[in-house]
Amino acid sequence: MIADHPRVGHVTTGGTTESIVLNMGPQHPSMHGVMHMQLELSGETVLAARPVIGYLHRGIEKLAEHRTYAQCMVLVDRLDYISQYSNEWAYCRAVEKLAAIEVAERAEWLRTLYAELVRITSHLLWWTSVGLDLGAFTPMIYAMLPRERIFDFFEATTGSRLMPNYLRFGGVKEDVEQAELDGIHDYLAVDYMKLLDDYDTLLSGNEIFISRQEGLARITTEQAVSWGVTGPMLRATGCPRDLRKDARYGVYDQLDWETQTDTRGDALARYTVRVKEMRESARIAMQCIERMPAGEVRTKVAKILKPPEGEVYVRHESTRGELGIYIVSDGTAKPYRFRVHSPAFMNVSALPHMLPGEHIANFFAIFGGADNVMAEIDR
Amino acid sequence: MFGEGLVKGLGVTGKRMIGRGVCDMYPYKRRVLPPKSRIFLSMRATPDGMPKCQSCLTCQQTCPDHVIRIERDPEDRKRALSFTVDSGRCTFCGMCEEACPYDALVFTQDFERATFEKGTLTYRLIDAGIATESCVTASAEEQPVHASAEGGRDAG
Amino acid sequence: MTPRMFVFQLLGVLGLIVVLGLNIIIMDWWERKLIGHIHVRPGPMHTGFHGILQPFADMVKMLAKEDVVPTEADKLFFWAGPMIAVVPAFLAMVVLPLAPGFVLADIGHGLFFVFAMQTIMPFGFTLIGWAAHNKWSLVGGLRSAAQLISYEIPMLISALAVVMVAGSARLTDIVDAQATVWYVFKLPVAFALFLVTAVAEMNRTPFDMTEAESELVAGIHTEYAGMKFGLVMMAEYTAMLVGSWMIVLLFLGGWNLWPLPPSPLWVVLKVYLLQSFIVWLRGTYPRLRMDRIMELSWKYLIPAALANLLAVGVLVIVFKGF
Repeated sequence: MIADHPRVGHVTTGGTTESIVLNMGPQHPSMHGVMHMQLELSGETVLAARPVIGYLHRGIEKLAEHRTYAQCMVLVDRLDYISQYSNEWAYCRAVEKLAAIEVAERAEWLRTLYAELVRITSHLLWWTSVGLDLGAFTPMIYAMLPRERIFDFFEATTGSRLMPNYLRFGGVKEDVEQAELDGIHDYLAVDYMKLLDDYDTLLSGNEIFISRQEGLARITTEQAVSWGVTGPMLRATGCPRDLRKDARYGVYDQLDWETQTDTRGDALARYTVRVKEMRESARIAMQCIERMPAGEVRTKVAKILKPPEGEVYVRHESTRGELGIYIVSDGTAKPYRFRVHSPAFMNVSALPHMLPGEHIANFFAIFGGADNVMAEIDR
Repeated sequence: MFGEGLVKGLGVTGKRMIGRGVCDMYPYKRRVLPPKSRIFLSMRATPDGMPKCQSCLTCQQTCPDHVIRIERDPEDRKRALSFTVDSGRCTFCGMCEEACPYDALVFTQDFERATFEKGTLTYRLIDAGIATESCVTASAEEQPVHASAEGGRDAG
Repeated sequence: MTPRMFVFQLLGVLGLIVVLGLNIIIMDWWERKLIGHIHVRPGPMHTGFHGILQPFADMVKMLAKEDVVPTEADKLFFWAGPMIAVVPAFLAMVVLPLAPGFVLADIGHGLFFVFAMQTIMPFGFTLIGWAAHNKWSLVGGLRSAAQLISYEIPMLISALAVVMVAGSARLTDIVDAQATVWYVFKLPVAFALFLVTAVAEMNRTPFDMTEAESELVAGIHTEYAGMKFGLVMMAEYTAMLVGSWMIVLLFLGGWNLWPLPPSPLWVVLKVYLLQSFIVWLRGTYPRLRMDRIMELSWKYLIPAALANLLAVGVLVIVFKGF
């Protein structure tokens, strides 16, 4: 394991000391998922970093080739288990484009609502780990409260807290009662915003926290683009790239919202962008509930769907960045090839460029900014 | 001023230190799940023990994980001899319930089925053509499904 | 020494051991409970009334666990490290008074004896980190050595201000000098410096570099299991007790709670309030970074402590008996 690392045992700094290799993860208690990072250290300074991935490989892309299009929805849920609705929506958009299926209008609003709610829960989970990575245990428990409340809403309306299997080709599985929607709207408008203010005071205003994040692993837009970094990480460099606006899907163009950016490009900027997005997503979700039209939530689609021969690639703004779904159809009921372009993978592959020269205590502060989910990287 | 955020942070935690907790004391107080919640697969049956299943095999074909196994009666194609659910494989996606054309399948909210052996996760909804006790009878369905399951369960 | 005195002192030492054990039992439960309430959860609830028996359950668990010693570890120091850490903390308690005259050894330089004992503790932590033959432990041990040595200096200098004002290094004299006005009001800067450095000396958040579980797995006690881990925990809790006790004696008036009559009860009350405050800090703050911690000590705390010492010296000379 160490032998195949080209620099170990040879690099000496100043001719007197030897570097050591530290295996961060996959069993490190604060590693996010089963990521393995080989760090070459001189004292406590990182000389080189090498991500080792694949511990959570479940063969989702291959499994999809043996399932019907409808059955693949279950797999897509488990791609990135923290932003389930985003994945489902991306997959649905791909299949709908491939088979030219029309989507019911109310369903588009519901999809937008759920995608924004799941963006909130995903960012809340990231917020828990940001505090935890820097040694503050309390934010983790606090951010779980609104997250659980939103999960309660998911469970009451779609039947599952984490793996909803809710979206269908041409719409969603079933309609949501107005009382439930009003309940979540009231929660987002009052309690959620109040909690966010409190949490901001606890962590965002904390001088220790700011001193640990400011100026850390600064990247420019050019660097981010050349590494393929997307999502909040790219927006933190000042680039207003947001596929919700750029790729135009759902009902985002009918709503009043802003793409959140920050020009500083450091770890604190990545933090700020995500915290701003938590509020902005709540705004979008509330507008969805206020302006949602009545009507059907599903169009008629064949039970065993057989899209025409061809291929399709769909870009989607998942909570972590640009999620790509590529499907090749050979005209049968099962996809011939199913491929996922994972945003977390691109963000993690930027880490070896960002880590060298940093203190080992900063490792998790930088790593947490990538907000990776190993399930999506390994697939 | 430096230190302002530190003091305010102490205020946030101090306020919650005095306030009430939010935990459900689980083994003593059980949560009532919403009726849409998908936990364990069950089947609707008439009070005299006849399952609603018509043995059309739609659920068996729809299931992405091969959880359901139906044995048809060779003489009566509309009658299932056995209906086996391997819940160890189940991902609770709810596709079988959605696909069932006879509205026979239903998810119960009984979540306390942890066991020590994988084999015990497999259970039968229909045995020898008759609905087993895992099925939901019509009379039980009038009450909320989750409250009718075994074990003394608190109201809230 | 008469035989009667010897028996008395022996009983005193046994009493100290009881105090040590009781403190760990109380703090183990109280810290879990307090952190739990900060986290809006109830904390331990199953063992006895509101989990009051939790420390005993923990103890049984630790005793029942396998005592793992890594193959590559240095057997002697792996075993001796926790002892070297816990014994000086215990020894420091010998000179800490609970009430006037109620102290095992009321020596004239009691304050410096405590500091001398605290100087030994980093040896224990460094040995714990080194002996386990684990990269995480080693980094934790070295961090602890650097941190504890750096923070002893401003801690001692800020305590010297108290000595100058009180005119004695005997802890009972220092407390008696605060009969009406506590030194926290006379010397607020020295108190702030001492509080920060004492928290750092206790290895508590935001200075818990030896553990730093998000970076170093469990820091120095990564490889420790069973009762040896219990010993390391004991050293940490005892350091916390000694540190809080010192703050109470030097700045918070010890057994004085004017206008109420002096009582040893106030010492106990103040010590546990202070320890609760330290737990509260842990529930609120993230961890500082190692280089920032060193920077804080050498760049800010030591100059501030020296300036404070100079100012207090001038004040003592100008206004006699300040």
